[in-house]
This record gives sequence, structure tokens and C-alpha cells, in this order.
Amino acid sequence: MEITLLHYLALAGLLFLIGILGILLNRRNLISLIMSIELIALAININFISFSNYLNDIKGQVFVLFVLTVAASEIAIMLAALVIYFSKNKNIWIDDNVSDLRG
Amino acid sequence: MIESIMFYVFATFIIIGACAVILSKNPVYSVLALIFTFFNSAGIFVLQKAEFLAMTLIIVYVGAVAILFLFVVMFINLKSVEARKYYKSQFVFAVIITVLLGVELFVMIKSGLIEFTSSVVSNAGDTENLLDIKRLGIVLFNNYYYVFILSGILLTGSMIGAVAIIGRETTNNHKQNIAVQNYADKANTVNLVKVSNEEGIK
Amino acid sequence: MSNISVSSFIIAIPEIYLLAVAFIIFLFGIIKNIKDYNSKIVFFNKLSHISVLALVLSLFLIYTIGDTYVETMHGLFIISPIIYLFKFVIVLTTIFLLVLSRRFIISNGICDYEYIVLTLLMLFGNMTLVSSNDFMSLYVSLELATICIYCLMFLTKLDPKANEAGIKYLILGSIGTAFLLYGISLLYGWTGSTNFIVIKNYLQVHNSNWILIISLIMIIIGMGFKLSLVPFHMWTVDVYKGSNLAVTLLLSTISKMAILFALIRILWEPFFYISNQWQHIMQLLIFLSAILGFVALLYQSNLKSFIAYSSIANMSYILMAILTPNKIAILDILIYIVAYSLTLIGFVGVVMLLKKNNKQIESIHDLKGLYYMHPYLSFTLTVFLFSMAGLPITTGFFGKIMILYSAIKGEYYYMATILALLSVVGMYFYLKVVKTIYFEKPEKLEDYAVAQKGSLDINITLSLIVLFVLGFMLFINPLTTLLDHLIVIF
Repeated sequence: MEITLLHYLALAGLLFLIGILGILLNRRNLISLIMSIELIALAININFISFSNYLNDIKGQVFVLFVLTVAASEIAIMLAALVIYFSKNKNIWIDDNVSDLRG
Repeated sequence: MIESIMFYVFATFIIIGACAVILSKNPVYSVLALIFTFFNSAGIFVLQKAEFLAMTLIIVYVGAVAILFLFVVMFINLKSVEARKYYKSQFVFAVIITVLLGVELFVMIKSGLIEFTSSVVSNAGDTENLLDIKRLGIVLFNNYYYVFILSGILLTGSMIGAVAIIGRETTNNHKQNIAVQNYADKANTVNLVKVSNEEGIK
Repeated sequence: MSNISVSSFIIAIPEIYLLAVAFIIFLFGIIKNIKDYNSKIVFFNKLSHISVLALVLSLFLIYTIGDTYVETMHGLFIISPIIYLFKFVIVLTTIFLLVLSRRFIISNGICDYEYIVLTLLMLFGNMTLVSSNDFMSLYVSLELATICIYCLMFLTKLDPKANEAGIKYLILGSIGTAFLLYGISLLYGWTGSTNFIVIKNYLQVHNSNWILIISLIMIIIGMGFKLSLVPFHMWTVDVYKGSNLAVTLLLSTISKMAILFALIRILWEPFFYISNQWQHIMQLLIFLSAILGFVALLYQSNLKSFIAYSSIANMSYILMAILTPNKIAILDILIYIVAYSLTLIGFVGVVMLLKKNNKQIESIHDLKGLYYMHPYLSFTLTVFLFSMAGLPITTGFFGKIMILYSAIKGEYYYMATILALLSVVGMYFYLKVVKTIYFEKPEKLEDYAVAQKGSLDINITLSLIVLFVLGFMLFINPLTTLLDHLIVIF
């Protein structure tokens, strides 16, 4: 069967949705949140590359290069924040309802 | 023919890996599934004639970011933390929302693609370069040098920030100062006192 | 064959200057290895003064570069009259913020130079954000600005609430960026380019398409996460309540201002010819934000949650002015946002000076009886509160009136009426605070809020803000002629 642009976009869309599902399900677990955001970034990269191939244009790949760079540095900051949070609280759960910030 | 087989193989493994990332209870399994997903999506990139970016994905994401994840997950000793279960109703609710969003997204994209006109408004270099990395280099360094510089500044800024967050010195550090040790001489350091019996030093 | 030359970088001299100042301060801070806590504080004070002077000089540089329409670096960097005003406003607000929050930051335990370096880098990111003409440079600048804010939020390591607030803001910001990028990828796929002007010309010619609609929705959702509009405001109140008051102020004024300007650029440049599409979406978001913001404002007693809901409510006013892309809207937006930001900075600046029982002020009830201790400070606070409520003669009133007027002229009758009524509802909170200051007394003598002796720069800036808020009628005529001269019709 012929693989068209729609197949690649559907794959990227499915990956995007799995990432969103991961965020909705694992709202308390910090590491799963960061990995779900990684999955969404990967879906966006697949999107850009597929469009770049279809349009025979190289700008999509240039954008992917920058998205890779920026997402990597953002993950570094997130992991630094996670290490600090863990060293204070001794666990990695962010509580939504029982936090002391409400009220 | 071979392309469609490779696409289906890679796509299936990507979906399986992504589901394993979000659904597994053990964080180490999640990170390993994430690495698996990255390798297979590098395969998808190669299918789309972006070989340089496929290798960059493996080097940067798998080689640096996922290893960083593994370090952090190992550092946080999660054997002492039990995994919490999410309630059944929450799971069903999240799946319903995502499925609705997915169906809507898919229908809109599919109907949008029917009238897809590929008008290429590109200011890429000459398209005779068959090598992907050569085209990428020409466009990146001729037209997008500004964004390149900006991303360099971003990396510097995040490095400054990350070290500022973590690299905090306590104020009671006793560090060696080699210069002071080198310039110490007997007259400043040692004091000879004659001590008489049962009187001590005053 | 490359076209890189010095002339393409000359237009960016304010940004390059800011970057140079940031890195020189960074190197200076590294070389001077200070262990003693007191000399660290002295060094931080010196650096803060130097950076404020550097920002004033960069204001002068922005003025020198001017406002003619220039496009450099292959269409990635752009200066136009509107962008010139945006940059001026952002740098001016940052100057006021740095001056007023310097002492508060030191008293909270942050006395390292990285605070100033990260603030200057964030300002650099904001300035390149507003002058970007392409989605690529917009994305990288946006990420630069927000990564610097993430790092700023974690500098108070000692406070566990700040850690949790920082992590929540981190997650929220990353989700917003993810949605924004998905929208940009679909838009790139449909038009073949990421340049604003190319996309605008493309949309003028071709018909609307489902892919275009999804990308528009995704971009607005992404920006909505970052601006904390209502369906996406889940953790915003937690973030504002948990972090340091100075960081909360920075988040709610400068960061919101820059992202708002980026949203204005996105909606008015590439999506200009599909205005009726995004106007519907924005109307829904405005209604929801206004209702939640103003109604929830009534029940707040904590200072930081007041800042959060007040910023949500005022954001809905500004978004109402975005709906009609013409030159009067720019005037309204700028006046309203300058008035609101400076007023909020002044209000929080005064609160930062007050201490009750040697603790910082947490809730509005701690302001009881301020009139009996410090009459001039309570006059200042009253002026700021009246401006935020929108009572006449103050600048906030003029901002609200102009936005309502241009909304009615654009035939958004229902929205203008509802927002005006909601603004009256929100006025209850501001007047309640005024009543607390003037007419209530705390029971015990030591529960009075006491101000420390202000230094010269804090006094001067507070007086300047009061002058700006009260004396707007002096500025109307020169301001209108200036803006008419500066703004080019689309």
C-alpha cells in the first residue's frame, strides 16, 4: 500500500495524543510528565520532517534542528528542578488537591 | 514496497514504545521504552530522507538526554517510593478526552489534505545538492544564522541558570588556598615558647 | 556568497548591548569570588545599580535606532513603529521593577549575581521576541525568555513552596510550547514557509482550509497556556502563590507583556486575512477569562492570588482591544498595559517596603491601619488601587474607557457591556482594600505594618509612577500626536 503524507501525519498525531494522554494520566508523577512532554516534541519533529520531505523544502529540517536544541536544554532545566524538588521532599509526586498552596 | 514495510514496522514499534512510556509503573522501564521510541523514530526520519537529523536525534536525544534521564532516575532511589495507582474513573475520563481529540484532529487533517496544494515558497539553495546535510548547511548558515546565534545564547543562558540553581556553595567550606600555603614561612607560623614547669603558656 | 555583514547587525544594537552587559556582569561575578555574605550583598547592590543604568542607556539606544520600517537578516528581524514602542515599554517596565524590588530580593536571601544576569537575558529574549518576523526566531526567543524565568524561580532554594511553584510553572510552560509548536508545524506544512509576511501573502490568495483552522487553534491554545487564559489557567494561582513576590511580579507584568506582544504580532501579521476566524475563538476566551477573573477577585484575601486573578481579568480587557487590528487599538493596548503594569509594580513595590512583626505582608488584612502609621504611603496605595479599579482621572480609567470605546466602535456591544459590568464587580475588591487601609485598625499595637526607610531611588520611582497615574490628562495631547506620527496603517 502506498505510504502518503497522511500516514506520517497520522503517526505524528497519534504520538502527540499519546503524549497528552500521558500528561493527563500521570499528573502527579514528575518523571512521567517530563517523558510525555518529550513524546510530544518527538511528534512535532516527525511532523516537520514529513512536511519538509513532501514540500521538498529544507526549512522544516532547519526548524527540527532548533527544536532539538531547545528541547534538550529545557529538559536539562527540568531535571535540575526535579533533583532539587526531590532533595527537599524525598519523593517526586506533585499533589494537586492536597497542596498547601490552595486557599 | 520495502518502504511501506519499513514504515509499518517502525510505526508499530513507536506506538508500542510510547504506550510503554506512559503506562509502565517502573521509571527505568519508561526511560528504556523512550530510548526504544527514539531509535525507531530515527528510522522514520531516514525514510523521509533526513539522514543527518536521524543521526543527530540518536546522538543528542538518546546519547545525552536519555542518559541524563537514566542518571536522574537512578539517583532518585525509587525502590523506597511505591507506585500510586490512578483511579479507574480518571483513566477512563482521560482516555475519552484523548480519543475525542484524536478523532477530531484526524478528521480535520484528512479533509484538509484533500485540497492540499503544494506551493513551494522556499528560498533554499539550489536543489541540485543531493546530500541532505549539504542543503541543510547552506540554508542554515546563509539564511538562518540569526536563529543559530540565538540558540547558542539560549544554551549559554540555560547553562548559567542550571548551575545557578544547583551549584550552590555552603558558607562553611574550608578550601585550600595554595598561594597562601606556598608563601607561609617559619616566622609567621611557628612560635617557640619556653614553658616552665607547672606554669603553662600564658 | 553569504550576505552577512555588519550592516545587518546594526539594527540589533540595543539587543547586542544588553547581551554584552549581561555577559560582562556574569564574568565579573565569576571572577570576584566572594565568600563573605555581607560583601555579597554590597556587590549585588552595586551590580543592580549598574544594570539599571545600563538599561537606561539601552532605552536611549532604542530611541536612536528609531522607528522606520527595517527588515534585516533575511527577514528574521524587523523594526517597525509598533515594535519600537513595544520594546520601549518592556525596557521601561523592567527598569521600574528592578529598582523597586532590589531590596526585597536581598532580604529574601537571594544575593547572587545570577539573578541580574538571568533578568538581563530574559529581557534580551523578550526584545528579540517582539522584533521577530518568523516563527523560528519567535520560538527560540520565547524559549530563551521562559527558560530564564524558570531559572529565576528556583533561585530561592530554601523555600519548598517556591520549588513546587517553579515545577508547576515549568510543566505548564512546556505544554504551552508543545501546542504552539504543533500549530506552527501544521501552518508550515500548509504554506511552505515560516515567515510572517510570506504566510500573510499566501493567506490572502488561498482559501481557508481545515489544516489552517487547526493550526490557528493550536497556536492560540499554546499562547493561552502561557498567558494563563481561562480554560488553561489550572496551576497559575499555585505558581503565583508559591513563588517569591518579586518573581511573581516579574511573571505577571513583564513576561505577560512580552508574550502578549508576541500574540499581537502573530494574530495581526500572518493571520491578518482570516480575522473572522480567530475573533470568534478570542471572544470565547475573553468571556471566560473576564468572568472567572473578576468574580474570583472578590473572594481573595491573599496578596499573590490577588495578583494572579487581577492579571487574568486585565488580560481579558487587553484581548478585547486585540480583536480589531487598527491603529487605534495599538494606542489603547499600549496605554492600558503601561498603566496596568506600572500600577501593579508600584503597588507591590510599596507592599514590599512594609513589614508586620518583622515578617513580610501576606494578606490584605495586614494592611489595616496603614493610614495611621504612614499617611503618604497609604495615599500612594490609594492612587494605585483607584487606577486599577478604573476610577476617573487616573490612567487606568482612560485605558479602560479607550478600550471600551474601540470595542463599541467595532460593534462588540455585548462584550463591551459585560466587561464594563464585570469591571464594576471587580471594583468592590479594590475599594475593600482602600477601606482596610483607611478605616480599620488592628487590635494589637504590634500588628501594624511598618515601612522601612526608603532609599532615594525607590522614592523617586514611586513618585514618578504616582505622577504618571494621576497626571495622565497632561500627557494626552502630546501622546496622541506622537502616536499618530509613529503608527503606520496596515
